[in-house]
Amino acid sequence: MRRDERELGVLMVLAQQGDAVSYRLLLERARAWLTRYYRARLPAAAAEDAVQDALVAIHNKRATYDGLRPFGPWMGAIARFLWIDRLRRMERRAEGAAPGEDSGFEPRPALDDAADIARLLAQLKPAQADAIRLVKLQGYSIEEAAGMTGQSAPLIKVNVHRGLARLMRLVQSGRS
Amino acid sequence: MRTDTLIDALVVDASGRMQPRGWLVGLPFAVVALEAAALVVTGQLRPDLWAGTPSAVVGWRIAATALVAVVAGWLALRLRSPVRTPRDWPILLAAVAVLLAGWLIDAAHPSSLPLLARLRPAKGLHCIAVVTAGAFPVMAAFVLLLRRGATVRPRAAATAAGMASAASGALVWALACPIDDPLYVVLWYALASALIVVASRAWLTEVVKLRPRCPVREGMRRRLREGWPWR
Repeated sequence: MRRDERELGVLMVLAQQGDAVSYRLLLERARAWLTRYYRARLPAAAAEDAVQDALVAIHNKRATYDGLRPFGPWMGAIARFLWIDRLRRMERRAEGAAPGEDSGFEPRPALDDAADIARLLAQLKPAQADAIRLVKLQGYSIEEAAGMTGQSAPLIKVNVHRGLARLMRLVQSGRS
Repeated sequence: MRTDTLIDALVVDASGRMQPRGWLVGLPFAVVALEAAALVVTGQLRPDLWAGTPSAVVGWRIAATALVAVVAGWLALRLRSPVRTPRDWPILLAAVAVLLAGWLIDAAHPSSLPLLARLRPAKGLHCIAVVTAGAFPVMAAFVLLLRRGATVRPRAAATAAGMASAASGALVWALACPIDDPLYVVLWYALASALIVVASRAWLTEVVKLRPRCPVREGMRRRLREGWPWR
């Protein structure tokens, strides 16, 4: 894995210098990793879109990669941020859509994704669902979420961490 | 299969293009220097600064605003990278050091004036307006830099950029401000900075957030007509 990461880092440095062949290799390998990453964390319909989003983000932000540092954490940070952002948007759509209502303007997959997120959150412990909803989906800080839920700040962190891990397991078990 | 098309398009877009170097990082500092130069050119610089004999309060407020601007600016620039997670404590330490030094200077030169006369609210409101006007171009420079970066902590980046911009605006005004009371400086400069930071946090968080924007360079346009993301 470390060797693989070094190779990806070298490919990115070459891509930053305008080498198209290296860049294609990099994107193909990044695509494989991103596909695994998002399939484990998102409903199936959203995973392919998320991969495309992440590839475009990697493309746009490739100048921010520092060749002296490992590539994996750089790509992982971008992928994770876009995942959380997508979860937030899905949550907002879920809140905006009245039950059984289809305005005709919202594409069907988005409504399905929103329903999936609501269904997945409902399967978590209430404290974990609250922590994820406030911190990851609505963007409150750990301290603000602690004040709103009555949980301590360390407990919020633990509930977010455990809740996300459980969400991943739920998505994976739902697929298998 | 549509992702293959996207990869083709991205490779075409990137081929033969060197990535821009980091010279833009100096942009906020250049803007502050330009604003200071404008003060000099328009003759608004304090006479004691021209003469090289500023009072302790003037020296303190210039050093204090410069310190906060540099620390917050450094924090904002570090946050452009998705893998850098700088700590927030340097900014808190700088703020505490600034306030402590101000308190010491105030204690060394106690004023006999009543509180309202020391605070001069009418001039204070003018001070807020000038600091905000000075902060705006610096904030624009930070927005440009942060949007080119890939921050995964947009709220922290927006806050740091707001703080650096506010301190820069205050620094430039500190070179011209005629009032030397530490209490006045602490209250009005801090109030102006707080307003700018709150506005920055509210408005810039979404602006500087990492977003996958489809590139629109020539060669991509044909593919863009097909629609993106490609489902």
